[in-house]
Amino acid sequence: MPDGPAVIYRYDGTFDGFLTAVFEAYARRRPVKAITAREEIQMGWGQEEIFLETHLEKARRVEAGIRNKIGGTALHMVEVCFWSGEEDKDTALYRYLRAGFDLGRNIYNSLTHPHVLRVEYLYRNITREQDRVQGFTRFSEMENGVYYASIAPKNNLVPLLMPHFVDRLSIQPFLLHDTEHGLAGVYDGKGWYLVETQGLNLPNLSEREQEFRRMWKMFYDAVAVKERRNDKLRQHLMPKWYWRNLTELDPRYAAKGK
Amino acid sequence: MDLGDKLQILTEGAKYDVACTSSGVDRSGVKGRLGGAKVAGICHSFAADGRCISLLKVLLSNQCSYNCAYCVNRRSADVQRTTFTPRELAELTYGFYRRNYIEGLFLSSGVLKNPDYTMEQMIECLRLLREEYGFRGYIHAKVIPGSSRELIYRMGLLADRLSVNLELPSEVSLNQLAPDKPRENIFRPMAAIATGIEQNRHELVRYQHAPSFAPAGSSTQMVIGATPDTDYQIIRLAESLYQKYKHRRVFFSAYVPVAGSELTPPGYQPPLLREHRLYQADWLLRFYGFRADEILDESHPYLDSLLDPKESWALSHLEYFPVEVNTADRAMLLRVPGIGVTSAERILRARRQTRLDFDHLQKLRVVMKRAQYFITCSGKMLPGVRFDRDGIYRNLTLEARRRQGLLFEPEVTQLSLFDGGKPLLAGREDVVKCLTGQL
Repeated sequence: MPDGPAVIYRYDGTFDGFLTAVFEAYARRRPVKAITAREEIQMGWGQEEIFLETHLEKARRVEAGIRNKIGGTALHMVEVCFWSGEEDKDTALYRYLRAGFDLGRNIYNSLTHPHVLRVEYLYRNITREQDRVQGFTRFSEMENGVYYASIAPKNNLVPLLMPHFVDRLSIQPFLLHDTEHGLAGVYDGKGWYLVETQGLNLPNLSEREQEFRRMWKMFYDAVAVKERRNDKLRQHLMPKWYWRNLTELDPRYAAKGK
Repeated sequence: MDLGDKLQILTEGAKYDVACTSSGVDRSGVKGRLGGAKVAGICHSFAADGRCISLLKVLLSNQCSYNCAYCVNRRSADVQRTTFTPRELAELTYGFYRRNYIEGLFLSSGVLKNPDYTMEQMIECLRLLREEYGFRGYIHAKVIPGSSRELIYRMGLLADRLSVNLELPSEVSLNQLAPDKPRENIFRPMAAIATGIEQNRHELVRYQHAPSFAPAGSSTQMVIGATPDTDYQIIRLAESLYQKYKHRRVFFSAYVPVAGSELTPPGYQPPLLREHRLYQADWLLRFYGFRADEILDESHPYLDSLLDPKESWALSHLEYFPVEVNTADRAMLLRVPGIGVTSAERILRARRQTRLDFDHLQKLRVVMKRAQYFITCSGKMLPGVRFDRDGIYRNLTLEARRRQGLLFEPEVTQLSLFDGGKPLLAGREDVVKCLTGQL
């Protein structure tokens, strides 16, 4: 049994940093209070904090360990849930991996295990939001021909969304900007990369952009069957949280008066 | 008339079509070309009626030469008429797709001049999109009843999904309300599509690069509530459509009266609850291993308004219950109200590791509110739950009765399930808000 005061491991927020933390938490054999990159998670009485530097070799060893001792599915779960917006996600993933190293492949059928349940919840939450935001993202054409979209998801989705949009929008350079997490995905027509960013200075919209927005809003309004109006259902399927980035719900593009 | 006006008119004319799904085909992108498709489909928005917007759903033209009584675009209707040029619509689709407004195009049309001419115009639009613009997004196209086999085949090579609307659940109704559409004009193209898909499957086995014909399959829809057809007739029909024509989906659409039509009595409201129940029954057919004649029969031809069809079935087959969740097979688990396809799979997986108790079931996301009356864990029912038909019925219908304003405490026999003949409480259906089932 590990002993000594419980430790908060702090890392730099990168995926390799997280894997390094998992490595260290194992190697140091101390009770783990939390693994986190968030500053707002504070130390309590009788606890200790340890700042870790990312170590690529240790990260690769943990990655290989997960793949060999638990399986590719577990690694995939970790890769996706790493981008969760939940505060405890790093600690939850660590506990899940510990259970996985004990149980091996049996972890996949241990659906009632509390650590597995927590990570399944994170996974469900993030993939559901990913499915939603894939639909709810709206690009606008700027005068330099680049397309820009602003999103505000609760999870840190840009890294998970970029492959999807690059796959289908390869004809146009674009910017996918998450204003909640200050992260943008940039596709330059060849490859894509991530940049951390707060505000952005954007060029003007292209000339035809307003016209497309107006027509989209017109379509949106016309396609609803008035006799079936159901605001509750709409809000359930498309929560208000996402409305601020939806062109079709922006009153500025209401149909011109007739 | 500018493009925006056309878009508005041709959307108004298309909106009663239910299917807006973009599912059934996975196609990755190609560098330098626009678009791809995901097998599960993607909803891009939800309209004020709560329905998913996935595709740009429009008519090519609403200048229809037919006069179907239930249709908003019928010849005698007083609406503004217009037609997209194939290029206008192709460009609009392309522009919308680049902005991630849509997954693709859902193209239907009124009968412009005659069925074949209409089909040619539609095909030209799809051809432009696919060949000239290199568009790889989703396309769902409606086959115009009465069009030639050759044109159907060409359309199928450009579209992902083809559909022909059955419109009404029986021949009598069809003859009455759609005199220009003889039944064989609907079934002939349906059969042509089914054959096309079947042949294409064989070709694809032999030649990897054979062009694919409607890879996302076919679907159809019918209007509910404009004619006296019963739920039993409707789900029997749906079942045979799945078997015979291999449809991926059969859609139901609560009839919304169109201006100037006299099909429905004054005070008529679209039967939304009935539509919802039909979708639930449809799910039982497609995913739960039910047959239509297990759900309803000649003497009980309507679905219950207070119970969902699975609860109804369980209550009249209590001899199969309670089910022991630690040993029951998949087929039996799926028959338990409150256990769905996902939770059944999870039960099967989890019980390899542990003996399941009621706490576990909650964690596996079984809906205990319904399931508790029908299951045991290690031989025991949930403490406090009695296995008694009238009691279960009262509890399961409690919420629905409250919602429908029926909680004047009753003799249970008055609300008997097996009333036969008429649906219970028809006419109050409209007060119930429900999911449309199209997702």
